[in-house]
Amino acid sequence: MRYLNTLAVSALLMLGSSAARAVHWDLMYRFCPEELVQVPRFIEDIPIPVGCEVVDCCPGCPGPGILEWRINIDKTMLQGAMLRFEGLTQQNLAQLKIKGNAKLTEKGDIILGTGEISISGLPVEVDGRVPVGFINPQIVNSLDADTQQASQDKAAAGGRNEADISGAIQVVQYLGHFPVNSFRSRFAAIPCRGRPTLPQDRLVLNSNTSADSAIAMLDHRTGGCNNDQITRTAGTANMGNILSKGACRSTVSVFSDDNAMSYQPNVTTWTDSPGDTHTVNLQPVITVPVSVWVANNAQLVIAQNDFANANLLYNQNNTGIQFNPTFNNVSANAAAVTMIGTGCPATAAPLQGSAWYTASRLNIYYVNSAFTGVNCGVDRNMNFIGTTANLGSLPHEIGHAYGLRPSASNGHTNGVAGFGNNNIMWGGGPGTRNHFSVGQAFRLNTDTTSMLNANGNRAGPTETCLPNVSSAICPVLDLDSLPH
Amino acid sequence: MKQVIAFARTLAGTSLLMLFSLFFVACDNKHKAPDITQIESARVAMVDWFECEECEENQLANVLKHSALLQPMLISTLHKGVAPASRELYKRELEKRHDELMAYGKTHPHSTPTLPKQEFVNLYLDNLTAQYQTRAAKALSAIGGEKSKQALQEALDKSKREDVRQTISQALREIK
Repeated sequence: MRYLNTLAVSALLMLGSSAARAVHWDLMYRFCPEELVQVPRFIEDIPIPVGCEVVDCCPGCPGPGILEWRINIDKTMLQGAMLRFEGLTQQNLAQLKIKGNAKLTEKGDIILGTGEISISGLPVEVDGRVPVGFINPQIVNSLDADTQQASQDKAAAGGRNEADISGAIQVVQYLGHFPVNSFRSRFAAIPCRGRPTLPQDRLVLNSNTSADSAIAMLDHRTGGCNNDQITRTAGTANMGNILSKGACRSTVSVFSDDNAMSYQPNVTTWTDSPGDTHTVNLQPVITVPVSVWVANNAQLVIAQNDFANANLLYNQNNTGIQFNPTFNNVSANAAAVTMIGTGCPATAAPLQGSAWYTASRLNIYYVNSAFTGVNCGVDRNMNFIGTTANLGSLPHEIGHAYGLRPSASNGHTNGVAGFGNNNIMWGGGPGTRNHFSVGQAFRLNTDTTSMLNANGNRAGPTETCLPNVSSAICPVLDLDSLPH
Repeated sequence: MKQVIAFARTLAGTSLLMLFSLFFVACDNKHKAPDITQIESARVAMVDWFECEECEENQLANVLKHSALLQPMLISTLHKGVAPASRELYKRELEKRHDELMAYGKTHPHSTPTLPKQEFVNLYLDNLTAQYQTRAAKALSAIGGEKSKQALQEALDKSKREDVRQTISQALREIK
């Protein structure tokens, strides 16, 4: 019976959409393995505190006690992992009971193999502190031949994301028979575009401000039509021989740190002969003026730090957007505080017509009410941040303002395939969530409904791409290539 | 008359039997522990409610489906806030983010955090605690009952943050 219960819970955790919610921390990495060769420390240690996710652990739990970790490491993408604990004494370590393909070293680390592993005897507190495990996943050096072939077959059939190969490392913490906390890190290998060695056609990026490994996303024709092919380069990429577009789409999109996203929807550079060079002159990052209205004095400092964080995340994720906030502290002005209210107004006109609103600009209101944040349906330039907001609230609400909406159409990524709760558009989860996919960055910039375009902050071509719609024009939402 | 008495006896007997059966079923249900899948669903529903951003995906309704199971944990959360392990994880992540912001601020001065690390961490940790407490208060208000009311009243007397007190006061005004 215990085994059946464990199976049921494991199944719940491993399932797709609704199950993703069962995981406290659910990281998702989507990358071309070739990139990992260049960035060996890209996959960081995963911190996992020993303990329950919530106070009192679970309904009916037997009360605080010693925990067991049940670890599952999938061998498709991982060859194992290294686990080390901070905060456990040598005596604590010696008392651990380890079952499965794992071994405690003399240094006190635990080498984890693939498959199911159990580590029991974990105390939730040592000398008043919470012990923390750090898992460093070891990605396989190469995918096995059958897996690669399966991926190529799927890619050839046109299912770009279906060709992904994924694997996961999962840790579920148990108190007796009861699961009380869980962590998962998933790794998906996207089919890499081959790196042609012969200098044939080339893609050249000019003015790459931070000389980062930019993400170029191309639609083009080679044998047949290719959709959303990703190439990484800081300057010049050999592209093989791209043919004239024929009946195919021919586009080039570039996502890079410290540069605006570049979208060229009708590229005519490529001919049937080799030797073509397509040049993208990257432009400076788009700096968006934002009016911030602080109606609660205590939140001024929060607003300042929220914007620092939003700028970091929007640049780190190659959106090409930065924010230049003007902080207006109106907390001592009773008329302003009354007019601003404590949340989205029923009708936009009164606030729009007041002195505490700037037309054609994002307006962020920091108000004295206990909620996190909301982007207003009556006016997408209105955003309210409450007193219990987390670091992720502001970048999340701006994401809604910039086209990642409605929530039910994958504006929220909760449970959407290919996303973990480290995604900024997850409707909750960790406050430090930090990831936009390339598919999301494309929409933030190009969607016709994005206030970035509606406010005239960006002048480039637009498309109509709901988050849950993918087509020849709209990349699938979870399209990505890490590291950004 | 005899027929009436006989009918009354039969009715009484049947009623007694039904009452006994109901009592037996109730007792049986009372003693039947929820299975682990149910418990896990309830726990996850509660965490979803604590952590949701705009809460547009029926998170509170999902908590209310498990109200009997979750009421004691909601009361504990109202008083204690965030569990130590979750607090530890968020603390470490906030420290790491502050480091990242400081590094980023060297090349992007407009994005430097205005607070030193410890204050930055404490500020957002306090918000997380307040979020858990206010969400617990709202759920208890929706569940209603004497236990919920008593817990809310006690928390109101103890809470130090104004926004938490306001939410608890409102929860008490609206309690079922």
